[in-house]
Amino acid sequence: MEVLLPLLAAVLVATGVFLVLTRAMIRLIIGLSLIAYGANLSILLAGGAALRTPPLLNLDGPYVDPLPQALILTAIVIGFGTTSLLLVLAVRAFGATGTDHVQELLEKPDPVLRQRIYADPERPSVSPETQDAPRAQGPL
Amino acid sequence: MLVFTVFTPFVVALFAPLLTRPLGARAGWPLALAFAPSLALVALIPAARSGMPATNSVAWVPGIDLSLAFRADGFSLLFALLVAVIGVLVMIYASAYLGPGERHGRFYSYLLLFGGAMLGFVLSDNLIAMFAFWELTSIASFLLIGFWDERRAAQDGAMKALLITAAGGLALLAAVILLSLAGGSVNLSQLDFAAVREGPLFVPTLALLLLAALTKSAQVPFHLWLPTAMEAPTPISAFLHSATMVKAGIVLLAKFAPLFVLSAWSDGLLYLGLLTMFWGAYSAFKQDDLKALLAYSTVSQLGILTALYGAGYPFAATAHLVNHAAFKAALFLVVGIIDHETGSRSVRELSGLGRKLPLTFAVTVPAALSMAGLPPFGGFISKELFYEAMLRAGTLPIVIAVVGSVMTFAYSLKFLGVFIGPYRCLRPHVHEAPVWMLLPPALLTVLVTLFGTVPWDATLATPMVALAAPALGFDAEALYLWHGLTPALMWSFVTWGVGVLLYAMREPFVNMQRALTPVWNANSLYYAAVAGMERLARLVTLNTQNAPFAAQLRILWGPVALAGIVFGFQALGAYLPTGLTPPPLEFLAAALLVLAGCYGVLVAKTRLSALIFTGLAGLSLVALFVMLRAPDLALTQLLIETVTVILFLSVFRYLPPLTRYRREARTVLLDALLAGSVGLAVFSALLAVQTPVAARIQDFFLERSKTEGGGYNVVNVILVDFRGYDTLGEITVLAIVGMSVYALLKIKTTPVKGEEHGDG
Amino acid sequence: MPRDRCEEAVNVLTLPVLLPLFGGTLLLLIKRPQGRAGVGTAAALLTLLASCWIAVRSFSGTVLVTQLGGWPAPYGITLVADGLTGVMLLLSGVTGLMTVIYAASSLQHAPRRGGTPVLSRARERLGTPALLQFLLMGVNMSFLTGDLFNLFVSFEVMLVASYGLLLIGGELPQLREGFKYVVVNLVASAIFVAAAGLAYGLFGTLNMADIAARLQDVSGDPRVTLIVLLLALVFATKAAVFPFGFWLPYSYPVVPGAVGAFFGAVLTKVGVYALLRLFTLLTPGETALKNGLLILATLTILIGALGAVSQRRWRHLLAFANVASVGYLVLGLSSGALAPTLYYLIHSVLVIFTLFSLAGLAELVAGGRFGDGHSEGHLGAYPLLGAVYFVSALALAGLPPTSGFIGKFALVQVLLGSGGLLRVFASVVAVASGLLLLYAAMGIWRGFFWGADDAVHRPPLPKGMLRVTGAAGGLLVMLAIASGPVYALAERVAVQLERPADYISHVVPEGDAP
Repeated sequence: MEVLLPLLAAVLVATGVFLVLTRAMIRLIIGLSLIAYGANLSILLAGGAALRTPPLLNLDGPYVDPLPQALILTAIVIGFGTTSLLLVLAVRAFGATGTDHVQELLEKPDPVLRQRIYADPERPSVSPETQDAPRAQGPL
Repeated sequence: MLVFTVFTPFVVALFAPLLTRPLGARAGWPLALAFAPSLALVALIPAARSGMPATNSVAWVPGIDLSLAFRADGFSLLFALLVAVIGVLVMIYASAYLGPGERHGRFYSYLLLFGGAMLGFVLSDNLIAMFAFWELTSIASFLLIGFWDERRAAQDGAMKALLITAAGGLALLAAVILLSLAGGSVNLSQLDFAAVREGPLFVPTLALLLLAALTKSAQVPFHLWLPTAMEAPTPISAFLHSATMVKAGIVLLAKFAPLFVLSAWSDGLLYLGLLTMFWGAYSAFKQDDLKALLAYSTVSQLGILTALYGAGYPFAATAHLVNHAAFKAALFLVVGIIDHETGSRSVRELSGLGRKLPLTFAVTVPAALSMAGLPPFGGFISKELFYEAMLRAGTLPIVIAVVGSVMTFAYSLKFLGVFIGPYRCLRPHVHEAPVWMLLPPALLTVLVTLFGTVPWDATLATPMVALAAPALGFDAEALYLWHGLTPALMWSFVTWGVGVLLYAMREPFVNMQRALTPVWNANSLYYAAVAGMERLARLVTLNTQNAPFAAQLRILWGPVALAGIVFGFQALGAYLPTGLTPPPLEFLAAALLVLAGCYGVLVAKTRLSALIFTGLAGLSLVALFVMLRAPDLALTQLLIETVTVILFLSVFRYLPPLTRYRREARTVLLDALLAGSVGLAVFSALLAVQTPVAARIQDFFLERSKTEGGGYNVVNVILVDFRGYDTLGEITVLAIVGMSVYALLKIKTTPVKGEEHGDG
Repeated sequence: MPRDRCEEAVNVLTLPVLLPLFGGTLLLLIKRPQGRAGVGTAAALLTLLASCWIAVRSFSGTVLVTQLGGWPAPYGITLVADGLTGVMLLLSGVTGLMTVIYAASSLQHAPRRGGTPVLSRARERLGTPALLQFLLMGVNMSFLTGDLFNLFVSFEVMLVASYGLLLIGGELPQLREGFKYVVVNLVASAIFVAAAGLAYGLFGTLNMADIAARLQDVSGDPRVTLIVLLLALVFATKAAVFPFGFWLPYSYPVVPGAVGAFFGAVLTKVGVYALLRLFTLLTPGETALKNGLLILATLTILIGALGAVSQRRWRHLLAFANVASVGYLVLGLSSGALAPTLYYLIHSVLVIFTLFSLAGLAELVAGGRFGDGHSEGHLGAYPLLGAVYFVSALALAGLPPTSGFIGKFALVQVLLGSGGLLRVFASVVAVASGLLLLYAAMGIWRGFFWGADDAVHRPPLPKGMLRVTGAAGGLLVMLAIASGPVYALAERVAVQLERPADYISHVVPEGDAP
């Protein structure tokens, strides 16, 4: 058990990290949720998970450490809040760009923010066409 | 006194616009009073002469040894008076020069700002303050060169001057720090030059110091900013770019001469100065624009000063410094008059102006002849001293000096040429300039003449140059107009003879010069460097900033993965528990479910299945929490899990189906490795922290929860009491999320103009 | 010894957090925009006053401590205010008040919807003023807390409020940059919360002073290094240290201009603050980690300065300049030059704030959506704005006689004085980047203030925005003039930071420790 549970936390985090690095928006969000699961489980395990009595004083001790549980409760709620925000944001972003490919979502030519940055007509030393070159990534 | 002297121009600069609003250009008169305290520095001359210079200091930032410490030694006084006199003359001149439509407030403010900075620079004893004033002169020069900012050339010239002099300034900054570290003091007067010379960092220190001096004083190859600085109004060119600011580097050389004189550095400076002198004179002769001619002439004369101070002839150098300031400022002001009255500065368009402008002509002749090095003017005396010094320095130096002086003689005649010959001018009615424009150059011309003539045995310039003697450590000699038939005089005759010849052959010579113009020059190097810098900046930014988001996230996880690899294996050996007991069955079951969930998410084809598998992992977590004696956690997780799933389901309508973007196998492998390493980090860290370094604080909560917190459920008591502040933050977070979600849903996205909506 | 002093300070230490919280909540209930402006300003002003009180007390050298709920440290949550907290609170209070006034004033000019430079009425109605208060709350909470997990919670309050401010308006660039910003911060938060859990596991406590006390027995333990590394990663990400700062330069420009100044000036500095705490309180050792950070800081300066050169738009350029200034700060703290770092921190907050608020005004003047520099020759019409810009630009580039010069000089003096190839290289970069920043800043000067004035129509600029910008510029000038005392203060605070024992003994008095 001392090894199994840390391993589980590690698997959750690793899966999450892998999903975050894939490019679909939904997978990214799910990945973040998994990372949060792993992180929460880690807090509990780091605080010394033991098969003792839950920290309810009307039961008889010895009790498990109550503090990590309190921390996780806070973290879960905060994580829920931020995940929901990200979800709504994803909906809006998808609605506005029509893609769920993270890279495409961020890279779609945006005339205001990206392209004209270097294309100042008064600065001929700066050529706009070199600007897109390193970003020929696209959806692979 | 000294602090007051330096700060008066700054303070007046702030209020200059208040005076120019009612007075216009005439505000130059009252504003010139800002230099009154500097003129009053004359009173400090006896003290300086006695070797006990006046000092004055105000603390600014004691923590970094920065104080506004001023010290009026002879050399500084001489230069400060020069600044003050020319400053006053220029302001009076400007009051007539500036048209009614100009921005007078800005002009006088900038000018006074410069005046204060220059005074501060020459009088500073504290090296850091000296650096500060040095940079301020560059900044004021930037503003003044760009005064007519509608002109692109003015903007470019200003920028070029700023970049080159500020870059030199940064070298000075580093040099100042190294000097103060090695020399044991930040005050110039207490600096231990010997210790600096023997310090391990002497070479970089001196190199940085010289770099600063050479950029500021426009020595080859840094001279390129000076000609384009001529975009400034002419009074400014007279003041900053010939008489004072460009000499700041020379002042630096003079003050730090003990560091390099009589070493190989000295020879280097000698030849660099001579090269600059030659190149400046050569280029000056080529110019048609009178102002450009004077600009290159200034470069050339600064070369003389660098050579003299660098090679250790401070007496000759100081004499020439005073002379040059006087005749060059006068000539610039004359160019201003010509430009003002005829609307042109070109040698090709102007001729015979002496008839229409006799007074101007009279003012010009002594100044131009002084520049040419003809007796009986000051320029002759200092050129003789220059020749003598070069004769002592060797054959090559005197040859270069003579060649340069021949050209100097010739371009001086070229300058005078616009006054003689047949009358030619584009503007129909040309008449003398207003008296207040004529008087300042006239006054300077009188000085130029007096420097050479009165009294006959030792001229007026003698006491002035002697003033600098104790500070620069040379023996003052008297300056004589006639000092016998010396070799130097012989060389002077040669100079004049060949000079006249060269002037006579000016047409073919200039044509030859034009034909020889190299394809690239220092200027094109500058523009290439700036463009290169921009290109580099763009390249770096593109490659760091605009990297794909996934790559950026990989970088973010990188250190964790690295920790996993480095720390992980180490920790596995150290902290892996021995004597493992097989886990209880229910744990194994829950673990299997978690793993199944993770696997399922990874392979899920549809978003619904992905969601279900996430839910599976979440619910197994709930089970684990129950088994790990965390009932509250289990309940909350269950609740949150349910709500999250509902939330996901409700927004699915607005989301695309689960796409799996194909990636290269290499990328997948890399990501898997990265994720695995992160997992390893988590795993090993969890194993490693099982034994705390000291007892955990849990008992306190268990003991006090019932008695003081009033609750059986310790977790709840912690949340609402022991750590209630966390909960306050948590609730705030939820409230803000609520607000933000509402706002996000409420506002419709306005499509950006030109945005392609593509396949959506 | 410090007991009764602590009691006296009990309520005051909570005020910089509670006042904005109440203010923000109240703002949600008020219907009229004018009322909101008044209440927001009042709340920010009161917060500033409380912060001032704390700052003045903390500058006298005492460490103010409040044990929340009366639970002794390390069991409850402790609020601590030492000199560093005082400085930070003062900065956030001043800039917070200015931001609130600036934002309210920008409404006078606001179009009904859209428009990044100013706050549109629609955005205001959707809660920007309240979010601003919550942001202020989160920031102050981070500065005051003495508890590692509570620092996580504070960060979340601050971040969620910043998500809201970034996203309200929902324009495409906002959604895009917001998505990136949120994802990066969620990742960082996950690492933070895990690191806090690990810290509890290893040290058995969450109180930072208590951790520091317990740490003394296990210095050099790789487990400590691991936790410190994770925390440093999180804080460096929030502070936008290269290469973890990629989220910043394009996201700050999409924040509504009225609020952007606060983002640039204060938000990134919270990360710097946390790094300062981490490296003074929790890890007096860890030379390898500090050297690594020093290299990253040097690169951050370079990347920021080069980035600024590569940009033509005010706010993009400023965002990169902000990165560079973070680089200077991290360089200072990782090389142990604490007094210069603190001085530079004050300078950096003021100069970035001034420049961002100027950018907001410039966008109004230029009339373009992002003020993209195709409108020039404004020096004649706005000479004072020009003066403020010029001085701030010099300060940004670190040229004398501005505060930027003094900060940078002090930093380089320490770096060169301590020797070592790495530090010499860092100082070369630090000095040379000044030239890059100068070039970039003067590019804007040329593009906006210089040039032929061909403006036909000049919009009247809101008075509040002008006043705030003027006040910020004034503060910058004051900072340069009063550098002596301010630097002396920075030195005192630095000394306090270098002796964490003092901090620890105030928070966890010897007798009470388990």
